[in-house]
Amino acid sequence: MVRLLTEVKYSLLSFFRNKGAVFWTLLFPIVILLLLGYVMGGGDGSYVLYYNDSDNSQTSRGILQALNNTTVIELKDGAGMDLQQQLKDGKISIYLEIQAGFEQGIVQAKMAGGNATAPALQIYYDKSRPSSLALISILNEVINGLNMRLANAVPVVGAQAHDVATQSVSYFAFLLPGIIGMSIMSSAVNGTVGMMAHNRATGVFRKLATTPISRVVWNAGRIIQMTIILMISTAIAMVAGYMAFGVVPNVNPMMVVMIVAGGAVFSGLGMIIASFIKDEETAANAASALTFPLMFVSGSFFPVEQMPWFLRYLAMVSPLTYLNDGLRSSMITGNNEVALFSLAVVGAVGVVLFVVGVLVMKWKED
Amino acid sequence: MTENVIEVRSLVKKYGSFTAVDDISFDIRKGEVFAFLGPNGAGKTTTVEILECLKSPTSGSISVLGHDIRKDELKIKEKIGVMPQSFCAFEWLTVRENVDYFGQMYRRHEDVDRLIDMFDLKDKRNTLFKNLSGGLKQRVGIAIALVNDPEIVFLDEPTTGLDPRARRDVWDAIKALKAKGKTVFLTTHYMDEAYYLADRVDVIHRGKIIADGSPEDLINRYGGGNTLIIRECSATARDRLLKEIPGSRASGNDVLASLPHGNGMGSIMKAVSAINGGGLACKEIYVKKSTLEDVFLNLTGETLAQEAN
Ligand SMILES: Nc1ncnc2c1ncn2[C@@H]1O[C@H](COP(=O)(O)OP(=O)(O)OP(=O)(O)O)[C@@H](O)[C@H]1O
Ligand SMILES: [Mg+2]
Repeated sequence: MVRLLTEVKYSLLSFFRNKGAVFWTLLFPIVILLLLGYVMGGGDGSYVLYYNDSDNSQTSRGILQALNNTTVIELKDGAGMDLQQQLKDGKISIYLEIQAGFEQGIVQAKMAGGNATAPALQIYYDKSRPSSLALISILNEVINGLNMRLANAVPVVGAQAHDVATQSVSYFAFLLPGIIGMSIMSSAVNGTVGMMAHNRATGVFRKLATTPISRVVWNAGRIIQMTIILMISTAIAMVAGYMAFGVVPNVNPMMVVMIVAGGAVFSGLGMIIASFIKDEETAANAASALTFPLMFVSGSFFPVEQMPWFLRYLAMVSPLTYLNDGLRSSMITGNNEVALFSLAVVGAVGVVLFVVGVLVMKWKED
Repeated sequence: MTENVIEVRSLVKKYGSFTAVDDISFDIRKGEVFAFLGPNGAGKTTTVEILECLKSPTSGSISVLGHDIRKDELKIKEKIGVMPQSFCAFEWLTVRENVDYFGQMYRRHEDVDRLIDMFDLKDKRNTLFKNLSGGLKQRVGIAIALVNDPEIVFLDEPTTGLDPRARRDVWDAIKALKAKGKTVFLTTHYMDEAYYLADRVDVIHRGKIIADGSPEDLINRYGGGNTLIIRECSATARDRLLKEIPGSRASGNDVLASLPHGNGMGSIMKAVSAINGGGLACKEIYVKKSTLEDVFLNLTGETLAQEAN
């Protein structure tokens, strides 16, 4: 017990003194979060949506009211502005046009009972700006809700938008768990590989092997240290996510267990890499070569569904995909079924990889 | 009859088909400073690491402090202190924290601050290990090796790569261990280190022990006696001296003569009188004592330094 506490205390102390390690583990994820968040999403907590209501009817006002009620959208009247030009100039990423005669069209569609084409809200957007995608998904949801109310689930209002990849959560809310998952992976793999390769190169392992400390205690120390660091890193990312983008994730035991399980998966992976690749630099390179592609194919930054089919197969075997799904479900969507399934996958892989990691890890040679 | 703390019988260690340690047997007595002297690749580290339970022997029986290394690994580890070759502690911990860390690994450990004082590390106690000079690192390594108040201390090449000043400091630290009554197992490829520190030296070469004894003993037995050296002689002086002194040989402008055991005086007298009587031009004359270097050369036909680069 004393050994375990000493191990944890001093390994945390070492970690926090090593500015490089602290930066890559705690601050780098935030840099990515902010960078991606701003570049892809535009920056403010809410989306600005310009509209031009040429119909100015009860229905059109109702729709605008409904959009306003989402609170995610900040509506701005663009009457009298050349919205099309603004979009082309990149000043805005999306706008909504309600054409004259919209209400009338709805009335007709209602009477025709779905046989007539519903009038459409015209949405103009810049596909190169992903913040527009998030808005479209919100618009879609609002419109679906409206349809339910207007006509017993017969679509009477449509949205005419092109190439829309619908996302059910806003991009920031999507991104935050992805970044946390990614940083769990990179901290655990790179941290473990770096620490082990370094300890071997400097001979610290050889020295440890001459003391009575057992590998079980030593590895228990590693798990505890890694969990503490990952919790801190997660907390910092959540605070940053809140301050920059107003995302308020759920904090629950499920999410904490996900983090521990993810830590086990990727520490185990790191131990295995470091056990088979003895050279410090080669091992570090191998770790990056493995984690870098996983970062992109596992749904950290954008949904797996948006990738070509062959990458989706990669995503299916990447443990990070399940960690991301689990974190997203427990932190954002509250989908317990997905969370439990992901946890089961991550937990099982974690136990296997960690046990294998401990078994293949050697302090001494024969 | 002093007791043996280490007994090694017919130890063999093979790496694949390569035999790194080839059937060696030796004993180490309580309280002595014992040195393994040998060039790179001789098998020093391999042997020491087997005794420290870091490597398993291919065959042979080894007992450390009365425990069989195959059965009582933990008991042995509690009672020995080790400084591995090119030792490095945790870089981001201070001297004091490192000593404390390793102390906590043992059931019983020394007072950390007292240990730090003992090795003159007081000024450096709050310095990060990575910022220490090579000599200080080695001293911290020795302090850490002592943290569990061990009965045997293993030091694997404690001064390799240090400047002369730092070497002296490390030597002093090792002398202090002896004064404390510890048994010390030292490996080195520096003959002066073995000569200065060790009570007993085993010369190891290509996995075999080729000589055993106190440094003086080895020098007397294998050193080939002392050598008379007359330096920078003129050509006439050189030819005269070579004729006058039995068993002499030329080396450039110098004349060297091995002095027979217990009968060196004759040769020296002859040289002196030849120089005096003939008015020969020579720069200096002295007797060089043979060293462990000569012991090694005579035993193997190789020089230690050559192989030790
Ligand atoms: N793990 C290993 N696998 C294969 N060969 C090894 C291994 N460890 C050591 N050797 C070889 O065994 C021989 C003895 O090595 P050892 O490290 O014991 O030498 P040493 O006397 O300590 O030398 P040095 O002064 O360089 O430390 C060397 O030829 C070395 O190359
Ligand atoms: Mg060695």
